[in-house]
Amino acid sequence: MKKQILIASCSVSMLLCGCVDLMQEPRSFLTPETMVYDQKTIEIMANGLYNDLWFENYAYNCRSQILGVGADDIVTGTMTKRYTFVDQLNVTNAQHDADVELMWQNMYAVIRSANSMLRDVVKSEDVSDEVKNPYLGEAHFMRAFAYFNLVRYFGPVPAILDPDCNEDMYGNASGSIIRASVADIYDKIIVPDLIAAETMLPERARTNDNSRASRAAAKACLTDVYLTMAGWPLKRGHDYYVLARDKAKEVIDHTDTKTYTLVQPYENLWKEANKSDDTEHIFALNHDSNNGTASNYGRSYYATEESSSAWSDYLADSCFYERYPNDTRKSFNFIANFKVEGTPRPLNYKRTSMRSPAINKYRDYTPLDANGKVIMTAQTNGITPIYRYADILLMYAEAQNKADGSPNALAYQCLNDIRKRAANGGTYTEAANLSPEDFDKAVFDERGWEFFAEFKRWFHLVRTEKVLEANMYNPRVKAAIEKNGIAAKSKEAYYWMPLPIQEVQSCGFEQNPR
Amino acid sequence: MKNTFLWIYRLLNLFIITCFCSLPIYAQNQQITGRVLDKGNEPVIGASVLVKGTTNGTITDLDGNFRLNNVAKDATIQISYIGYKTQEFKLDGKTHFPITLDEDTQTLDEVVVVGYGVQRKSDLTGAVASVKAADALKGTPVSDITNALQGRLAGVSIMSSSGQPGSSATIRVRGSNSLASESGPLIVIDGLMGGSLSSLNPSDIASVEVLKDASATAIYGSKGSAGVILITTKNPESGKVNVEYNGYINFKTPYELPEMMSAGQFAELANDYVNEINASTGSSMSEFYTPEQIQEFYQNGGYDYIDKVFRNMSIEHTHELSISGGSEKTKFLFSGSYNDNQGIVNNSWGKRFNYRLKVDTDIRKWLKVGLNFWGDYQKSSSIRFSQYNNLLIGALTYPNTLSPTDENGDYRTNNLISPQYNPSIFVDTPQNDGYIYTSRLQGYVDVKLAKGLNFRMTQGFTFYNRNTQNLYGTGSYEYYQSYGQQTSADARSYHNYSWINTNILSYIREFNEDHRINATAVLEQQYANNYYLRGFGRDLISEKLGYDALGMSSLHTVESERDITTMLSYLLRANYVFKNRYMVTASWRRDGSSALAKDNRWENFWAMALAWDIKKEKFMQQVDFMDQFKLRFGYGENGNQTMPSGQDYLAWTQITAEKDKDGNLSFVTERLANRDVRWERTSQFNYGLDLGFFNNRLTASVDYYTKETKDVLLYVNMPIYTGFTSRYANAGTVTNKGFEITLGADPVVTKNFRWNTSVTLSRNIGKVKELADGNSYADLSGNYENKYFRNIVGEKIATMWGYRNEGVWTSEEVNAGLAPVGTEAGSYKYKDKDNNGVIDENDREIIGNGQPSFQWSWNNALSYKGFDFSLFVIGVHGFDIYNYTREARLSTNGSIVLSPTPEWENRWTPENDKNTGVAGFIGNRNALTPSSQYVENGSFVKVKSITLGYTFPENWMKKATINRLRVYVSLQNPFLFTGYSGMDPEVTLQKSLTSGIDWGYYPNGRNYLVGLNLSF
Repeated sequence: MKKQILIASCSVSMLLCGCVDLMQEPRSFLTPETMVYDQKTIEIMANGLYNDLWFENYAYNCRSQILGVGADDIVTGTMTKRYTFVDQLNVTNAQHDADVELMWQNMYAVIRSANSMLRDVVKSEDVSDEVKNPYLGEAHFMRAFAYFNLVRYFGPVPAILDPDCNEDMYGNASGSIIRASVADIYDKIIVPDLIAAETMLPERARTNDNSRASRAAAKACLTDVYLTMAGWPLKRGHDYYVLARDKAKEVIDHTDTKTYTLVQPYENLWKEANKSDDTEHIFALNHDSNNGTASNYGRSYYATEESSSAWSDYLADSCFYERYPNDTRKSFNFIANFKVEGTPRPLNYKRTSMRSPAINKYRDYTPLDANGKVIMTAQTNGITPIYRYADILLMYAEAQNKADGSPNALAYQCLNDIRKRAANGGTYTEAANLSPEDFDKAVFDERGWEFFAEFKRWFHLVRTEKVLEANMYNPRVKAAIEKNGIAAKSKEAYYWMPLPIQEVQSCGFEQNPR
Repeated sequence: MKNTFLWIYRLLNLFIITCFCSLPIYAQNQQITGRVLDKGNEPVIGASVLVKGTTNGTITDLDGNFRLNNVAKDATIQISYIGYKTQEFKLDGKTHFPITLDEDTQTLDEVVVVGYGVQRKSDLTGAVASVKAADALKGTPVSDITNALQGRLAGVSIMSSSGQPGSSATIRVRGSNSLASESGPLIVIDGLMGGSLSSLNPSDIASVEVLKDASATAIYGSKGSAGVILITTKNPESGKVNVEYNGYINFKTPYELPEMMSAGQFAELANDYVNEINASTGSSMSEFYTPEQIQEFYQNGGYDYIDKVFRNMSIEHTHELSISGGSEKTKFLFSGSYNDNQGIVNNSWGKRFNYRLKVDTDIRKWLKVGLNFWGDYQKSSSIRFSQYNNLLIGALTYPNTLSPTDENGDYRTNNLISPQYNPSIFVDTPQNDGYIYTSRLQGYVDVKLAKGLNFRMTQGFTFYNRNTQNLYGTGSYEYYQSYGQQTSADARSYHNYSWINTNILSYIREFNEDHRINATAVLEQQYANNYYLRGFGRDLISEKLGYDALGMSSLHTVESERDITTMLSYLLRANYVFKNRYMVTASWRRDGSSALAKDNRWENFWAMALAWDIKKEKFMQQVDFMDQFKLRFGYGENGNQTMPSGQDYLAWTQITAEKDKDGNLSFVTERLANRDVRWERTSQFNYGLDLGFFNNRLTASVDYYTKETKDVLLYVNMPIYTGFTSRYANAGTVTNKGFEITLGADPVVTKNFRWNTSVTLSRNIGKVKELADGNSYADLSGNYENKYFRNIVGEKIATMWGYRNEGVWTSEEVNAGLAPVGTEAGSYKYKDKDNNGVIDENDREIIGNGQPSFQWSWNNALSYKGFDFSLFVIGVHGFDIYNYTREARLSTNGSIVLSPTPEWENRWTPENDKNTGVAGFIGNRNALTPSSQYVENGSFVKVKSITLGYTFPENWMKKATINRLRVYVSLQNPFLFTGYSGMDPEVTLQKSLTSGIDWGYYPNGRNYLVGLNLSF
């Protein structure tokens, strides 16, 4: 009898024991299914946009400099580096696939996060529109900015608005997603996003510094977008100069309570202590190597002659340096005489291996030891500047002149304010009575001086179609360009970067011409 | 009648039973003696002789003799031995008994463990390899059973992956099925899934069984596709308390160290470098050393960094103690072991303590319960043998003319021409601590329900704790790496808890001579809960407090992680034998797992196998030289549910948070969900043949198999517009084909001298059959070693992909315009595959393959009276090694490495303007990588162990009340025959996917052991 009871209880226990729960949700990370969209979550999501833009210390802060070496302000740090190919306008996948792929991935990561916010936060009923909208404004702004970068680097690119990436803007399903035209990206994504951002963003960034998007950031970006649409490749001309002029003027006219001025002197813009400044810096990526989001300024910007720990990735273009007006910006922006360990006499740039000065702009971000010697570590602090008030002034000057046929008083003032600040109390040439062409040339040059090594020059050369012209000063670069027959190629072949090989292969895209 | 396994079994029994029987200590009644022979008049060694109803007993010695004291005149003596009918007889006044045991055909068979049960060996239908641990350990005494198993099991490849104490060997059964989630066979210890072989006390192990083909492994379903290793530990036996001790001391030395230039030679080379580079590029560097300095280096030498890395000799010692005994009803076994192991590299060591308590009790005739409580505690210290800034490569490349520290006492972070950390930093500065403690508690209840029907419930718990702490103090590598040079420290702790509940209902019945059935139904549940916590502090207030006061740092962070996985399984298996010669086995398992999306959660796995012992047929009865002629065929399917590390929740999108510059949190999407992921699925055919001849003095077993694994997980490219470049997906098919042969023979068996020899031969070819989306190849994602390999459809796994080197260009060739435009004389010359005058990535081709295609072993065990001798040789053939360690001494990423390697003496120079094989010190050397010049034949033959032991005669020992005393000396890895130029070809086989690359791995060495086995 006992046995039978046992048999019965065993069988029953066998059946009952099959009760381990197969539904085990992740415990240590969130998923879209478990996310609760309260204000705190939405804010952390919005913070994520900037983290995505930074991506890694070697990403936005670094790749945008590499892909901009083709401009006339900076050159490759040594001839054996792959950046030499960018410098000489000969970018191919052979050397630069990893660079273009990272930039591509970096921007689409921003886009994916923005798309998630614009779908999921919008749907959330936990918080009011009033609370939501400023954050959604950030998402619109960041998506527009990412597409703006993509379209300038690569031309037509896939237009993805779906956070799951299952379809593109036209409704093509994955597998048949196409590269949307440059015009569509501007007209259907970038401009509407920035207009939305402009209305939704607060006047001053929610962090009261330059590290989050503000209304002025959206206006600055929109001005930049209009100017770019007016130039190459869309070349929409006059109407878009008008739009750019008016947008820039809104910031200059102080229609908002948050106002901007030029920081005095120029070099104060580049102090670690001032990196969050939002009196002139409208929008920037902020870096901190201890907490996260480190920058890459620690070794890349030092010349081999200065230290054996230097990477010497980028140097100033000596011809650009020699053309540079003799103001305090020049003495700050460049290191023309290197301190060499063990020798009392400084070494002039003309006697270095690249015969080029070094870039001084980002050096306050690296720590010093007790003896005042730089402690070189690759990852360090600082900012990646994106928009400054100086930008607004010069964009206004450029757009107004082009829109109205000749510069007005405000345009002169904008230009002269920049020059005045550069002189820092010294004398400077005040622009006056210039022909529209000369004024345009003056603004074009001023932008070069003002934004030296600020990740901007390349885009400026492209939209004004001055890439070749600007690269004729440096004899080495000029010779290489001629040898490789760059001038005979279509502009797309060297204005745009090649698409990442993997993307061409997996999506069946046509590669940009080379 | 003898056959091989019986002999093995006899020896094992001799060994075990010696442990459990002790000599009588009081002599009252009378003494009896006798000799036990089998029908062939050969002594039966180790037969049990017991006075019935008492615990007074002994076993027969090597000559079959026994002697028993204190036997009552009316006692009944029972003599038993496995494979023979038990005999009983009364004393009837006699004191000497010549006894002949009759063979018992019913129990002649050994049983083997097959997972969730046992089976007669003769009824096996699948491919199962089996080893008695005692045999392996006698020839190769080790503290980690895997090292003793290497080469002993056909089809099972075991490679010692590193000389680091405590590191475990790489085990693969019939090759690798997987590409991204490959982790070797499932280990089952006493029925409990999971665990590591190296954490076991080898003396605790009774037998090791390896289930190789799918018909055998299908019962392990989604965990079984990479093969299953079943470990059975020794069971307690009744009898007097027996104490056993095994111990050895091992003196370890490195293999031949790599050749280096002397400091004087190197100083001259450094100056040559300057002069040759100046001549080539027009630069004007000045020489590094004056003639006086060079002279001084010649006289006084420089800095020997290799010496800094390796110890001249290191010592390992192991002690294992076990106590066992008990009554007929309650039996216990307690054991403990301690291993202290210095590595051959400085500052590397491991210590391990291990314990086990096993108790079995028969409560009622039909009810049995038992407990198995065991665990291990380990500590170790390892040194930087990582891919990046590797210690060994550092020591081989760092100029031996430079001291470790500069004038300020800081470690050098540059060599003569480029940034490089001085290798001393990796040996001198690490400060770490930690331990791993694993504790397992296993209990069972066994109920006899009816004749042949049995229910057994096993519940096992595993607690795993691991702690690691690191201090990165002033002057450490991490200190120099950090922003502004800051000290830091971290502490990690892991708390894992898991349980398995197995309910087995089995029905084993032999109806009559013609029908035998062995059926099993199982319900199994598994639960694992892993927790991880890490604290990190940067800029420590006190280095002395370090990781013991992480809060005392300017910046501290914490992170934690938990993952829980569960599994539910049902399985059925039946084995039916008809007329002792027709056998069929069928099994089915259904697994459900929490790690997969709901729709893919449940999978079924099934298998079927047939066998036919032709020898048992009537028409074969006349063939008397043959004992067995069995054909086996099996087919089955099973899975691999190993997820790539950190990817347990692939079916979910993963959102974590990171800090920005102000410490604000921001979400980061780490991975997008892939809800379609499913188990890799392997189907396998196995064809086997077992033969026995001349009373089984010669046996052979041959298996041929083909495996195909579908839905192989791969890290595949995805459209980057998703924000990600790749993801895991089931995206390939892999095949493995091969054969295994095991031959065993007893060429000499006489009274005093025995010679047993066995040979295993295994061949396996693992290929990529298909990749998703019709791709013809897939590069391995990741850096370092992975960059040297490519998975190509139709080619073997571990195919090396690179440039075909053709030496260097001579001036004559360059001047004749044979070289591509711009080529410098003295630069490397590569095959221009597409003949377009440009060497680019399109000129790469297959330059080698690191997957061994053939492995063999030859084992010999000889005994003469008390002496035993064994010789064990293994061979691994048919693979290439990419000698990255050699390449790294000449160049990395195309740049010159100015290292003291003698190879520089062969370089091209304007005076030595020949195709020398090593490019010169010139501006543009065109050193491309991977390059075929570093690919070498990796085949090697290793004498794994030579052991000589002596067991003292029993009658000497009796006086000291010692049952058995054996002393031995053993040489391990004494001879290595290979054409490979690096230190140790074996460690290059540590990873299946990047098999055959030598990346400065921790080499193995030569061992000299002295040990003893004692029981009383």
